[in-house]
Amino acid sequence: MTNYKPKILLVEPSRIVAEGLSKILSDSGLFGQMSHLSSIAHLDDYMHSIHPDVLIINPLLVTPDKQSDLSALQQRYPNLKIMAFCTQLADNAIMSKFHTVANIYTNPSHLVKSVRDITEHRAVIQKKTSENDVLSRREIEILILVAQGLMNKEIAEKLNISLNTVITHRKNIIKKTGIKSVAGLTSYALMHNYINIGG
Amino acid sequence: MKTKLFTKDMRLADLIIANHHLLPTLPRFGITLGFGNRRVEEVCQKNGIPADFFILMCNAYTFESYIPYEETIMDTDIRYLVPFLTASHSYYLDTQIPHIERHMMNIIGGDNSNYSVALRTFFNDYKKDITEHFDYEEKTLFPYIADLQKGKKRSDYSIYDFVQTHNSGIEDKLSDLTLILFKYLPENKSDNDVIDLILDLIELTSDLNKHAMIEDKILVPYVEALEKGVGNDKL
Repeated sequence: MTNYKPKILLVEPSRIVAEGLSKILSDSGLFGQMSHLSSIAHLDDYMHSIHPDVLIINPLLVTPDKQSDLSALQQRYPNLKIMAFCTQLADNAIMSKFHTVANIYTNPSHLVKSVRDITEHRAVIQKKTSENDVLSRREIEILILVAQGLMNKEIAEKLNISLNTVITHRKNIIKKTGIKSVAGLTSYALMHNYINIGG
Repeated sequence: MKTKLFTKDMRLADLIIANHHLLPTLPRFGITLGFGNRRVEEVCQKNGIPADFFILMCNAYTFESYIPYEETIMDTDIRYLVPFLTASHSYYLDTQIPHIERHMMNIIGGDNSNYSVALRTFFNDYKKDITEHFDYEEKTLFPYIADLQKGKKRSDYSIYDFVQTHNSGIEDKLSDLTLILFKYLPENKSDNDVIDLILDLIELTSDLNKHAMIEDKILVPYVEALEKGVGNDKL
């Protein structure tokens, strides 16, 4: 596999974008034959004659009626890796059909790396796990002390942890609740019965 | 993308259509409704407001990326800026905030439940902060500017003292309040009322942000230029 250079088929309506992409990818020297299609119409024919390893496609072309075509394509060519190259914001539902995603602002070297990674069966789109927004017991403990008006340094001393740890916990509390001000956090603590009126 | 700035030969109505957030600022300029199809210049003249100043303000209010040149600011009759800012303060403190407070009290009620107390305390805290901030501007900054305009420069104060106080996190509090209302208020309340309240808060937040932007983009450079001028005895 080391000397094999994966073939790429690019499906992108804009010639400027397509030529830019082709140049970036061929300049890397990592890939073999590069073909370009400006629409999805003759995709099947090209797939059949070229047998690309990677299909880079603009998700705008994958209209809802074409989504099943994409799934069918994947079934017919199970080893084919498909990258979405976005020139605009695209629906998340479509994005899950691709192995990886890049856009017009992606750093060229990152783009090359992503294409290489999928051909080497490495990176696959990281599915967003629903973030754990529930405060941990330690975070609640710190939230209560913040609500009671303690400064970071006092919290560190009281809980016998480092100042940095307190700051990290506080950042996480802000991230999870979305609330930035001390007064807001106090209200949050009160509303969730972590503290009682008057302290 | 190039955006065309407003000019004084445009119809005032077209400015409002382009940016409806300008509507509540009109009374602060002393401009009354019923201007029909009149152009900005005519309306300003009728209401005794320098048209250049009005246009400068409308542009700063509307186009986030617009930063006026110092020369533009200095060529503009800026006498009405402080009165405009003061009128804005009264609008926030005497009209908008009490309106929001009444609305909020209707929803959360005056009982002693935790969330009711939490929101009341929070809102009072916010009100205190913003009142103090406006008070500082009106009692310290604006008289300082009035002195500069008369050619008197105090040695113990400069616009930098104001700039330093200007990012004190008051905005965070208002956005926290909005967030708490739509994320964490218990379910059994009338949602349409809560949504109305949140929309009012969002409008107030946006207006206050613009207010701060006007101060940063126009007031601060203006006072800086005045300070330089007074220092050089060139006024």
